[in-house]
Amino acid sequence: MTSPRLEIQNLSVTHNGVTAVSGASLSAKAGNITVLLGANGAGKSSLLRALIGLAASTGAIHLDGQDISGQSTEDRIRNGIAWVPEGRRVFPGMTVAENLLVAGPERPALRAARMEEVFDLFPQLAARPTDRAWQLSGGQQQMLAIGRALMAKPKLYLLDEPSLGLAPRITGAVADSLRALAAGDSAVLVAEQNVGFVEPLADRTLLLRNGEIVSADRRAPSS
Amino acid sequence: MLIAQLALNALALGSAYALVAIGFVLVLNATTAVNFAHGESVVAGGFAAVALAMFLPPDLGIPGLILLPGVLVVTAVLGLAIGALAYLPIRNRPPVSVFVTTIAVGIIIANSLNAGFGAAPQTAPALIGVGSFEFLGARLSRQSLAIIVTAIVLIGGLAFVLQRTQLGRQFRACSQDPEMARALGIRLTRITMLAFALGTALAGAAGLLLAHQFFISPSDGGSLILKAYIAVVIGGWGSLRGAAAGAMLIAIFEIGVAAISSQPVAEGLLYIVVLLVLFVRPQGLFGEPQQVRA
Amino acid sequence: MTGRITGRTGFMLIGGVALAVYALFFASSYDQRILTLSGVYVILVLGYQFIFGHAGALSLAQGAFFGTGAYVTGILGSQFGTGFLLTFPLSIAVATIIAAIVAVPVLRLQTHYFALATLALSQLLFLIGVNWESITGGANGLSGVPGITIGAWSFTRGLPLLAIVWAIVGLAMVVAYRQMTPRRVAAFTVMRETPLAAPSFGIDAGMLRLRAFLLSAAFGGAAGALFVHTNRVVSPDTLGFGVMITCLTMTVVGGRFGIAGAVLGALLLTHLPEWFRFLDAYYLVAVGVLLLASVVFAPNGIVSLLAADTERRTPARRPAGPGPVPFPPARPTHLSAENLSKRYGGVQALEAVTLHLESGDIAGVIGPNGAGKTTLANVLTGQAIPNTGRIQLGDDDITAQAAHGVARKGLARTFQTPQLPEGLRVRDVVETAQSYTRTGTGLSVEAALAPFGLLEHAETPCGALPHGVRRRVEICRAVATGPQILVLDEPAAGLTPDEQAEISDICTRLAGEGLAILLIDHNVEFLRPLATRLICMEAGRVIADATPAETLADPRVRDAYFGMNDL
Repeated sequence: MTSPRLEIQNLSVTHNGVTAVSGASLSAKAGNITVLLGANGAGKSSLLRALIGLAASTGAIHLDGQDISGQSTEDRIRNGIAWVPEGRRVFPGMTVAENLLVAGPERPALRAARMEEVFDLFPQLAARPTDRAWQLSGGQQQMLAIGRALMAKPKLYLLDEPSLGLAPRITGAVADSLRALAAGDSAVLVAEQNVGFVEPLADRTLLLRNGEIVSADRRAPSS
Repeated sequence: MLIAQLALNALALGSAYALVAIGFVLVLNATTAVNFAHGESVVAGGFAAVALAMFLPPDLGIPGLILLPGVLVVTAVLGLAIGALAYLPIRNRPPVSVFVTTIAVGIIIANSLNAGFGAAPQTAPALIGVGSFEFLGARLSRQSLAIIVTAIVLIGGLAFVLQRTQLGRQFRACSQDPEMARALGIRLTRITMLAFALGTALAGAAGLLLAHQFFISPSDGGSLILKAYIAVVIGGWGSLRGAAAGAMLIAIFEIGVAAISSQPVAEGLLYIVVLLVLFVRPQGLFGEPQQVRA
Repeated sequence: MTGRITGRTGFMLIGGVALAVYALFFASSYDQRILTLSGVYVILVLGYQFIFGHAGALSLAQGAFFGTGAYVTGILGSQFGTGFLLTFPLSIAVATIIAAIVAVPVLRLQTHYFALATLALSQLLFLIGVNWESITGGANGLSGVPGITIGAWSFTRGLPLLAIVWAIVGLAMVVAYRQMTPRRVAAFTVMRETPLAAPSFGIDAGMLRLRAFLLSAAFGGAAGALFVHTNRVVSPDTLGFGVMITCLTMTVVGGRFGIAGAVLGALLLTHLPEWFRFLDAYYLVAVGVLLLASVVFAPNGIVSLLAADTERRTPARRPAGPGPVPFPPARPTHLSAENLSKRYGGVQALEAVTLHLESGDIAGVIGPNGAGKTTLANVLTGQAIPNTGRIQLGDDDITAQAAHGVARKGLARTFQTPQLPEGLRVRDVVETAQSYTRTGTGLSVEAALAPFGLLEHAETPCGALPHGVRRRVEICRAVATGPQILVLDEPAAGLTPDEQAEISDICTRLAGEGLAILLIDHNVEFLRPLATRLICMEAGRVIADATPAETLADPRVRDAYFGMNDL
């Protein structure tokens, strides 16, 4: 039996004396959408930041069975992890195309080809490649952020509150794009507080409260 | 026509200043740090030209432009040194620290040049030969034209790199959101050192361009950094285009006022204008107005 | 660390005696002159410490103030024969006046613009010095500046001049010592390290910086005057950037705070050229290297490396004492905010927000990210000015009041991330807040700390405290200012359930004594049993304001949280 795409054991994240995450363990399978559900301040962002290496942590992190907990952010990205942070954080002064290209591989031909793939998936972006990112709507920026992550063809996507601030009718398109990511055999780990958004998406849901994982169910908790 | 000559002089001086200001902003954007050694980098470029010129056989009238590659390389290396010594060791400290370390490096550069070359102003060879030629009834100085063209080529080259290459995109990403850039795999330290190298090289080129017509001496650094600083205040903190525009305005102001009265008056008025601008708009001409009361 | 140098005083006294012995018995007349110049620079650096050290602002005008003092004395002395008793105060006065003229606009500039403005000012003064030949003597300056003569006494070169200069240095030290009382040093520290919180504890950053800037100019002018009396000539060099660099280097190398640092830096840097004379023209390069090395390796100056830090005693943990001490009662009051709105750029952060608070209320504020909760806190406490609406505290309209004024009127707050200067002790932090808001209940520090169970931590520097205790200190500090209204921004964030219960208990008891509390938090579980009312915000508007049970049952509130089952 192959190891899951992502496996975390006993992960703790402490920052400035505050323990944001303590003793978290979870696994995320390739091709699946794993949801980490939690309110503000529960520790979702800290956990994801620890996975991408932007926050110091203790505990084991395994990617396809390989221990990456000692690796730098740069190495983790090269090993196939992509992070889509809260608030999108597209580069506002750069165009749609530039935002995608800057995240792409080193070889120009491959880069251009990947960008075409992203445009196929997000026709809204394909329609306006030369617009500056600040001109896009919230939903389009979210697409751009996801597309930017796609450029690296990662094995694992880490998404922090992708539905934040988006009107309900837009979130449907975002949900579709997440399904597309998982369909490409990547593992998708989504941290969210919006139950309605993640309920139809999740293959597996974990609840994060005060930095601890308190339950792991097949579907969203019912009580 | 005197006006045409003055205008050309102003354009030439402005072009050189623009190189200095753009180089300054490059480092600013990559590091959010003010590089106080930037003025000395211009001077270093000028003296690199003076030194390299000693290798040229005299009396052959070889254009000084030939020294440009050498000057660029020397000052790019200087830029790496400045970044490594004055920025990298303290990059996690408050911004004031970088002011002081770059002031220190500036002192080292200025006084090394002083010790090596002496305090007197020196001159580098003319870029494409001396003299002027007639055009539409006006006498246009060759040197001024050469300065303008060289600056345009260099700035154009930089624009090309920033807009059309992956490296340029990475650079711009770093200036806009360093953490996100890092999260995409962009190596921040590499970009930072590149900024220092490029920025200082542009300053060095300006030194070569200025050294013939305006002379260069080891103590020039102070007024040059001040003008770069002012250009950025005028043009908007962090804007490359704004910095170039600001630099041009400073040159026009300097040459214009000096023509009517004198050089010191021009300089003094410039400083008074800057102080007034900052008093009226503490966030700079193009910054965001602050909503919160101090 | 306070300005009172207890452990170092012994060190300084010994050093002082040693210097005196050296000057009297071993120094040649040349050495004496160097020592005199050292004294001059001590005054310059002492002045610079106010603005660069305490206020934390990179002023590049210190050399210009030096030069101004130098020229006033030089011009009046050499051209008009004016005596020391007139030129000295005038030098100080002119420098201070110039500083005062530019102070108000210059001091509100951010770091990089402040440095630029002071640099431009100093270059301007330099240009005037070089070019206004008729008055200043142009590039050659003026010679024939008389020595120091006070009445019948003439302080000739050598020991007499040395003595009078260092006597004035002593005077300057006394002034500096008295200006930088522990209270003021603490206030500067709070302003420097936690600029966000400082106004909320009555600290008027603008006034503090102004005081520091004017003092630096006065000391600079004094130093310049003494300089020309020593050299008997004045030249544009005194206005040049060289002096600024010397001053900066001395301050960085010696130490940004404290008299010992100033003396050490001045002595070292005036004697260095003598010791490194073999370097010739490269001497200044060595100075640059020294400055660079100091910043990188000894950012607090040599004085912090040399003297063992006698200030850092092991914090004495006092016993916790008997059971819970009651809080002092608060005056009954009413806060009413009507129709508040606030716009930032394109975002409407607050819209038509109305709320009322009475003594004894604990109003919880919940809402998703970006709902405007912190903006509400900022507007109420004067950190931001609302675009429309009115805020009334009792009979006072405080809508347009800045934060430090609001703090003095009786509204205190805490911040999402604890804003406590690492190096200050708990008691210093609380004491500073009390003294600067002056509406303090007249309590001693101990009496303010006791109800919070913080007596045992009174001597501990804030940097050494665990997170839970820091939160308590923040609330203690806010309550110590004797407020009637308390605004708490996420006080329970990052706390263990036990610590949360502690905070909850504190809030209940405070409300019991008549305080009104506005409590912003995400944690509904924390708020539900504690709050008397629960306000829910979304997109800048208040969408519910009722009892916790009612608010949580409100469908709009559940919608705002997208149906979180926690509710």
